[in-house]
Amino acid sequence: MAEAEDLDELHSKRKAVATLLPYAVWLERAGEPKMLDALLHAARASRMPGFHVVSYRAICRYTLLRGKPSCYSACIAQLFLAYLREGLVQRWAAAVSVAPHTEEIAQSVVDALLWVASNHILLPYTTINTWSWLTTRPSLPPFSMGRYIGTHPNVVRAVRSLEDTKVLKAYLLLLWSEWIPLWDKSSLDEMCASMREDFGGIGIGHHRADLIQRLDHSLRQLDWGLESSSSTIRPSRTGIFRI
Amino acid sequence: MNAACCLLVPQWKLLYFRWGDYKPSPHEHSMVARSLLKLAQFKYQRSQRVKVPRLILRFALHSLSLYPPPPTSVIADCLSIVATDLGCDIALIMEFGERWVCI
Repeated sequence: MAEAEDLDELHSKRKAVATLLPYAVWLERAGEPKMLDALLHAARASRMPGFHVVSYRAICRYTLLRGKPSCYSACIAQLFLAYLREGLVQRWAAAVSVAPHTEEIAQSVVDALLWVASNHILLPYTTINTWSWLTTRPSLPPFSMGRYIGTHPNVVRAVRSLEDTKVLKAYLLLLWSEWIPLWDKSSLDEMCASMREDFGGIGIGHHRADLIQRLDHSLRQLDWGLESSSSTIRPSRTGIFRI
Repeated sequence: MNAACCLLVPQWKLLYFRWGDYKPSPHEHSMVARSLLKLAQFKYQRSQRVKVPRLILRFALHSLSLYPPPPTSVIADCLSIVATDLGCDIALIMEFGERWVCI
């Protein structure tokens, strides 16, 4: 199994590992998922930039389009985000609908979903069922692609347009973190508008309270980070502070 | 045998070689896979155990992506090519016709 200290080696052997994927998928379809389990674990651990090599587009099509959709198809999409197209997203959404709700699968699904939602061509192919995975609130890694691209104003608008308070709340709780800044000011404006308009009514005070608590937590973490970094600030000879 | 012949062309031309259109008979596929496995092991040793040529790794990818799957011997050779690139030692036990990979 891939661990943190293996990352360099995994990266240097990413093409060899990717070559095994079609065979691993074939084995999984035949009821032997161990190899695919190991490969997905390795891919997640290394973030596998090698999958973005042109010749591996075929693997994406192979793994998502062949056979019945399974929980593995739901996870595999995360590895090929750059190659997702309309047909593949439809296939992925079908796989997600039958996948069991586990923490690991939820991480993959939400990461891929936020990427898909940022693309206006792919967005119509997401379903309400796919969005409901947000409510499982998986613990995304601090610097995941989904967490970063998920703050794009298009995504904020897309989630608001669902008019589902639980999904919207889960989305905001997932995205607000001390790790990733918002995409730009229009994202912030959209979120502020959402707080005013979507969480301003009667009967959803507990949602508002949860969001405020999350914001307080993130701000405390940011304050703590600033205090830690300020301890390393030293005055220069000219009197201007330099970090 | 067009695929085997391409190994004789200059290196820069191999960079653009694609296996996508290569649809051999099962017999030819087995022969090419076995030859490429031996070549991969030779090249791997010569490169001081660093890498198998990309062309051969792409052959393995192409073969393992075929549907229906190629003959078992081709699958075994392709997996051995990948195992070679990963630095595993492959022990062939002729008596049982099995191959074991030592990691």
